[in-house]
Amino acid sequence: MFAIFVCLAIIFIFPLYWMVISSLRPEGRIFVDAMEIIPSALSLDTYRRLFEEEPYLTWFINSITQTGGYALMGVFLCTTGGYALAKFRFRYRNLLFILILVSQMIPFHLLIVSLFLMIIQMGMAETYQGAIVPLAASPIGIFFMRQYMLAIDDEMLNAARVDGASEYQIFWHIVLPNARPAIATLLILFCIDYWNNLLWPLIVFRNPENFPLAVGIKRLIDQYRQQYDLTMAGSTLATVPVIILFFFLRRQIMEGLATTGTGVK
Amino acid sequence: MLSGANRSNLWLRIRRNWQLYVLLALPLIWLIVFRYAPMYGAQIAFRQYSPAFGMEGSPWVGLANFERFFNSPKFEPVIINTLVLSFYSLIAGFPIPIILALSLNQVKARFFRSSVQMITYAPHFISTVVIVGMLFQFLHPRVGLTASLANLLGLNAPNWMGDPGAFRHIFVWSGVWQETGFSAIIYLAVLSTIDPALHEAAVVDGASRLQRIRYIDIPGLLPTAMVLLVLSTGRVLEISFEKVYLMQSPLNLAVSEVINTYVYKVGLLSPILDFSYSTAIGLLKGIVGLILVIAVNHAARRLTDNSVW
Repeated sequence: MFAIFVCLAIIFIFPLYWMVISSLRPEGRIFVDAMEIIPSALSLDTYRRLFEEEPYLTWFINSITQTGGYALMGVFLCTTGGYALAKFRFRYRNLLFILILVSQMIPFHLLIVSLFLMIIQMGMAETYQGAIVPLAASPIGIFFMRQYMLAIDDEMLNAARVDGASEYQIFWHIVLPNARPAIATLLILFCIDYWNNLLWPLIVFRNPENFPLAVGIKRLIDQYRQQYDLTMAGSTLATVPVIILFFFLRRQIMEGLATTGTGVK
Repeated sequence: MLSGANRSNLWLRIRRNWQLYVLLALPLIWLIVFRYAPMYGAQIAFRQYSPAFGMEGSPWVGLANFERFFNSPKFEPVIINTLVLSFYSLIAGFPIPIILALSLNQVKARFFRSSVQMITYAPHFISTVVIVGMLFQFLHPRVGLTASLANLLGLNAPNWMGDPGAFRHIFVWSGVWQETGFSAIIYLAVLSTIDPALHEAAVVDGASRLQRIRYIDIPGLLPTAMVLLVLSTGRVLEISFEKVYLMQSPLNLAVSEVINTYVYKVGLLSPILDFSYSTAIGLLKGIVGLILVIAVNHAARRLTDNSVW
């Protein structure tokens, strides 16, 4: 069993370890030393170059701002939508639900050109809004929240209504605290989604000053200047926030995924 | 009379529940604006779009854009590459998470279980850009890890990233590596809902471990597995634009040009942006995807009695 464990650890963790040590090799040694599993010399030089020669810090801040905005907006929209669909009965509710699910099946590539034209028309090209607003309310996110909200006890909500609580108070003080695991799950999934998203920001932004990390790193390895050392350093730093976020919230994620039984992607 | 009463009733209900409608309106408006309205914009697939005339004013050309794609020399390779890459990914990526979940489910040691889970789904959180960067470096023909290993063994260093024959395997198996652990989460959750009494009874009857997996665990997983299979077929043509695009090089373009990358190039990257043409190809892809979903759903129902609808 121990042997299996070691094998799995090597297969799954080694590439990450290798990325980190590659980024720490002294300048010009990244390829020469490729076989040195335990590096003989370490240097932060690549990281210094990353910040001095490339606008890495700007990309990093862009990524954090855009990801934060995207995730908060998306989670808010999915939570309200999911709650309304799960806990209120109204005419055309099922039709609405189906319309939402169907919109998930529209391939994004079909929308891309129209969305791009729309963004230009709305004056949102080259802006953060342009990058995050069109992606914000994910149908699958609404579905996920709805599944979770279904499990909230109706009695509890009705009791609050009898006591004279407004719908706003109920949503804020009862529904939100009860849905905390689902909200945490969705929040981190949305964060990772945007943090790693390449296609849409690549379309919206032309100016390197506005790039989020993924687009910036892509520039480092494009055909013309394959700067692997910078890429490895940039990638290592870009992975750190995701890993931190994940390890803090991993129990809630597992819980959220297991309860709703959906693999949100 | 009746309809009048109904209408006032409706207004009354809206007035009384306006908060509900506010909750619902926000996501709904968003979906209409950013998912359904662009569908209306997809009509430019049937027009010769030019910015001067706008979406509705551009001349109607019927199916000309589609015909152009069918007759283009790119048509065949792009379609074949998309299908091969999609189905290869689908087939390779489907059973492995199930096997991982089934074997993890057999493990009683809690610590071992949770560590393996954590290790295997770690790669899911790494961005595609990073993965591809790592692939390039690992497989570098002169100084990558594979090259160094080959040198050590006295072999010729392979140039896998530049080899069109290797592109598909690298693409698919690095994807399997990245997603196996995360996909297994769902199967593990399903396995944990299987009644332990079933297993106890089977043990009493003298069933071996493999027999219990075969006759209890697998049937328990099947409905979920089928639903996930149908759903991922729906996404099959959506194969990661980003990863293909990043892994593309002039050397492997013959096998790596897929619909998504082609749409991006003709629609948004080329010097003459051809919005109509790329939208037409996108539309075509949507239709093919829909047909595939229906077909797989049908097959799943016939073969296993489980399907999404």
